[in-house]
Amino acid sequence: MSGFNENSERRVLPLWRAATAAAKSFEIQPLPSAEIEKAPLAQQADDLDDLLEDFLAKPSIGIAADVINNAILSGRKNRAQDAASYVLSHDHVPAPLSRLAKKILGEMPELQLDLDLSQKSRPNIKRLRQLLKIDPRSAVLLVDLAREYASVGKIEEAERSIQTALAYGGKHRWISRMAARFYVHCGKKDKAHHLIANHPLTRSDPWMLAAEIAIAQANGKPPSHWKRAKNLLEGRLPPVHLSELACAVGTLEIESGSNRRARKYFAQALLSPTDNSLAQLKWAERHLKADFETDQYLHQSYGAFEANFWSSYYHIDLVKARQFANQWLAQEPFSKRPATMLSFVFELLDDHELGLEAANWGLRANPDDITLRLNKYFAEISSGWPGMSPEKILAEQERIERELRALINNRLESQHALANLGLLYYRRGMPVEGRILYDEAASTLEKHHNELSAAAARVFHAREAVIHGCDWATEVVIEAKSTIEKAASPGLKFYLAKIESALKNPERRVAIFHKSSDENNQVIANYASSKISKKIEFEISESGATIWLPSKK
Amino acid sequence: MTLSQMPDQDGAMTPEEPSFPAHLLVGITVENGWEIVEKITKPKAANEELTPGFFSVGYRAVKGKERAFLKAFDLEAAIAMRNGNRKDPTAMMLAVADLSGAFLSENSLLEFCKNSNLDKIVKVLQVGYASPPAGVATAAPFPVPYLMFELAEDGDIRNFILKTEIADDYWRLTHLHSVTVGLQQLHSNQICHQDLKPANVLIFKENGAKIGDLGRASSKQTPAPHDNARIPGDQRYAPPELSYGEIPTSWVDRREASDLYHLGSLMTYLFTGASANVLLYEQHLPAEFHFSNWRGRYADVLPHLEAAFAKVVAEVSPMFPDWARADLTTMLQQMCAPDFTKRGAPESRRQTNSPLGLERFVSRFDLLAKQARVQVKKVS
Repeated sequence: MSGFNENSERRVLPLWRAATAAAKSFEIQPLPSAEIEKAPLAQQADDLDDLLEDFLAKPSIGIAADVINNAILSGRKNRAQDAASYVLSHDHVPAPLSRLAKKILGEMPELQLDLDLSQKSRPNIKRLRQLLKIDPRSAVLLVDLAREYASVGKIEEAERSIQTALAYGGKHRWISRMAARFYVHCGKKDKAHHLIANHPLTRSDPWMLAAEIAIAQANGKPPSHWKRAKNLLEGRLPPVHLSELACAVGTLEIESGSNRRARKYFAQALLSPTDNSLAQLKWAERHLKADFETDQYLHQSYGAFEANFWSSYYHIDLVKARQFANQWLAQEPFSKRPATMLSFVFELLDDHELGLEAANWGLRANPDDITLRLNKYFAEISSGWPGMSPEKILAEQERIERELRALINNRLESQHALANLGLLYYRRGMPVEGRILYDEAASTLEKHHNELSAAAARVFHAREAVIHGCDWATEVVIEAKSTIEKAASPGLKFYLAKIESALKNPERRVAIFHKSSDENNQVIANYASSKISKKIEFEISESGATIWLPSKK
Repeated sequence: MTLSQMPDQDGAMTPEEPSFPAHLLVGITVENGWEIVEKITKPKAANEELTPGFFSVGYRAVKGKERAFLKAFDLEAAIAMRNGNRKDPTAMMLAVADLSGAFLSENSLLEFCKNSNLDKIVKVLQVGYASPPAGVATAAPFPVPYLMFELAEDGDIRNFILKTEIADDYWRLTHLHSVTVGLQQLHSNQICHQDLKPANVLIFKENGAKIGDLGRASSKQTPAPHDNARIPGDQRYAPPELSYGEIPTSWVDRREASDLYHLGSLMTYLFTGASANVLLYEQHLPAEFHFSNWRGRYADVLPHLEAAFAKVVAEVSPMFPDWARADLTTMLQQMCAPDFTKRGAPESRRQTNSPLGLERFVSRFDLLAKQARVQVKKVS
C-alpha cells in the first residue's frame, strides 16, 4: 500500500529553505536588542525630473540607462517606463540593462513556486558552484549548495559545504540553524544538538532555543536550556520571535503528557505564527484533537505550504493538497515528509505516474527510506506498466517481489511490505493469495494498534477486490469502512468513497480508478469545499472519473 | 528638490522661477574678463551636479575663444530653504556657514589640486565673487561666490556609454584608467572624493576623462562641513556599509574604500549600463535585506549581501570582453566587496595600515587598456 504519515511526530526543526525564500521569514530578522539606530541622512538633490526632461528632449541609450538607474534607486520605477521602452527598442543593449528595463515594464516572469517533478537534476547545483567560484567564502551560498546536494542524496558533498559555511559564518543565526537542520537530516543529531546548544547566541536567542529544544527532543534527550526558554517566553520579545519557541516548548509538554500546558504554549505561538509554527500548530491540532483556528492565518502566510497542505488534506480538498504538497517539497526538496505525502496524494488521485515521480524524487534524497520505497512499489504495481511488454512486466513484478520479500525478511516495515505484496499478487492474477497477504498485514497492524496503517491496508485491499470482481469484495469493503472510522484518515475516507462507487457500478470500475482529469479533480475539490459528507456519485467519461455532488435539498 | 521647486506656505511643491541673485548672472562680466553667457539649467554637462547639496547654479562663461563652466553658490536660496519666510537670524547664519564652509572647502581642495598638478581632476580656473545684478533685491548683502572650471564641452561619460561606435572596450578601459589615476592622485594627497559617479566623470577632447566635483570630498588636512555626514555623496551610489549605517572608523575603510566602491560601480555602469547598487538592490538582494528594511547590524546582513554580490558579479562578468574577463571580474570583486575590510587589492590590504593598493588598479587598467588597443586593431 502507499505509505503516509499523517499522524507521525513532528518537531519544530528549522525550515531549511533557499536563502532567498528564507529572507521572507522573521527568522532572519534581528531581535530588538540587536537593532541599530542609523544616523539620519541629509536631504539630497533630486535630479530625476531634469534627467527625464533631458531624455525626452534628446533620447539616448546612455541617458535612458541613467534614468533607469536613478528611478530604481530613488524608489520611483514607474517614472522610468519611457526610458525602459526606449532601451528595449534597441539592439545590442547589455543584458543586465535589458533585464532592468523588462522588470520596470513588468515583463519578467513570476517566481516559480512549484517543483517540476520530471526534473532529474538540480540545475541550481551548477549555478551555485559557479557563484561559489566567485566567492568561495559565501556562507549563504554554501548553505544553499548543501541544500541542493542534500536534495539529491549527496550527503558527503553537502556536509563539506556545511562545514565550510560554518567556518565562515558560524556566528550567524540562520547559518547555524540550517547547519543543525542538515545534521538532523543526515542522522547526526548529536552533532546538530552540540552545535546549537553550545552556540553563543543560544542563551538569549529564541530562534536558537527553539532549535535546541526541537533537536534535543528528536534526539531523545532533555533540552539544555529549558529554563532559559521558559523565561524568554515570559519576556517582552515580539510574539513573532517567540512563536517557534512556544511551539517547541508546547511539543515537549505534549511528550511529557501535559496537554493543558501545551495548549497554553500553542496559544502563545498563534499570536504571530511563522510558516513553521503554523505547520506545528496543524500537527498539534491533529494530535490534541483541538482547533486552534489556524486556518485564518494560512492565506496570510507566504510560505506555509506544509500547514496549507494539512489544512487542504483535512478538508479533503486533494487538488489543493496536491498543489501545496508540491510546493512543500519544492521548499524542502531534501525532506522525505513532503515527498511521502505528495506521492500518497497522487495515489489517492490515481495518478500513478506522478506518484512514482514524487516517490523517486524523495528517494534521491533519502535512498534508504522504506516508506518512500513502498510508495514507489505501490505506484509501479498500480500503474500496471502501461505500454510495456508482458515479459518485461513480469520481470518488473518479480523484481519488486524480491525486494518486498527482502524487506519482510529484514522486518523493515514488514506489514506494509506484506500489504504491497498482496497488491502484487492481485495484479499477477492471484487474488486468493493477495487476499491472504492483505489480511495478514491488516490483522498484524491492528494487533499492534496501528489503526491508520491497518485502515490503509484494508482500503487498498478493498480496491483490489473490487477491481478484480472478487466474491469477497463487499465483505472487504465493509471491513475497510469499519476500520476507517477508527483511523479517521481524510485521504482514506476519500478513496473509500471511490471504491464504494465502483462496487456499485462494476462496469465502470476501470474508469473510476483511472487518473482523473484536471476538470474532474476540480469537481473533487468542489465536493470537498461543499463540506457535504453524503454519498458521492461517480460519472465516468473517457477522461476519467467525475464525482458529482449530491443535489441540495 | 530642484531649484525651480520651492515649498509654498502649505508645504506643497510648486514650480517657481528662482529670483535669487545666483540665478541672475547671465550678462555679467566677472574677474579677468570672463563673461557669463548662458545658464545651464540641466545637468547635461554634469556640472550642475557639482553641488554641495542643492545650492548652486551652473553657467557657461566665455573669454575670447576660451570656454569655462562657472558654478555659482546660491547663499540666498540656502537661507530661504533653511529659514522659510521667518527670517530667523540663527537659521540664516547656519545656512550661510554651511554653504560658505562648503565653498571654502571645495575652493581649498581645488586650489591644492591645481597647484599640485593633479591632471586627472577638473581644473579650477578662477575663484571669485560676482556682484548681484543692479536692481535685484537681496535678503542678505552677499556677493555671489563662484568657482570657475575648465569646461567639458562634450559633457560627462553618460553621454557616450553604450554608443557602440564610440564606447568600445579600449575607450572604456582608457577612461577607467584615467579615473583611477585621478583617485590615486587624490588619495596620495589624503583627499577622498566620496561622490564619484558617472555624472562626475567629465570627458575632455584633449585630455580624456577627468574627475569633477570635489564638493563632497574630505581631506585629512582641511575639514569640510560634510565630514561627519553618514553618506557624504550621492546616496544612490553609496557603498553598502554606509547605507546600512555602519561607519568604518579608519580613514582608509571609511573614505578611500568608499571611493573604490564607486570606481567599481563606474566600471559596471560602463560595461552594463547599470550601477553596482542597482544590480545589487534591485536584481539580487531580497527586499527584506534592503537597507531601508533592515534594522539590524551590518555584520548580520553581510552574509546575504555577499551572496547577492556574487550574483551581481556573475551577471556583470559576461559583459566583459573574453580576453579580459578574468582580470576585470577579479577587479570588480575587489573594488565592490560588501565587506569593506576586504575591499582593495588583497596583497596591499595585508600590509601595515591596510592600504587599498589603488596603484595596483592603476597598473591593471593601464595594461588592460593597452591590450584592448591591440584587440581593437586586430578586429579592425
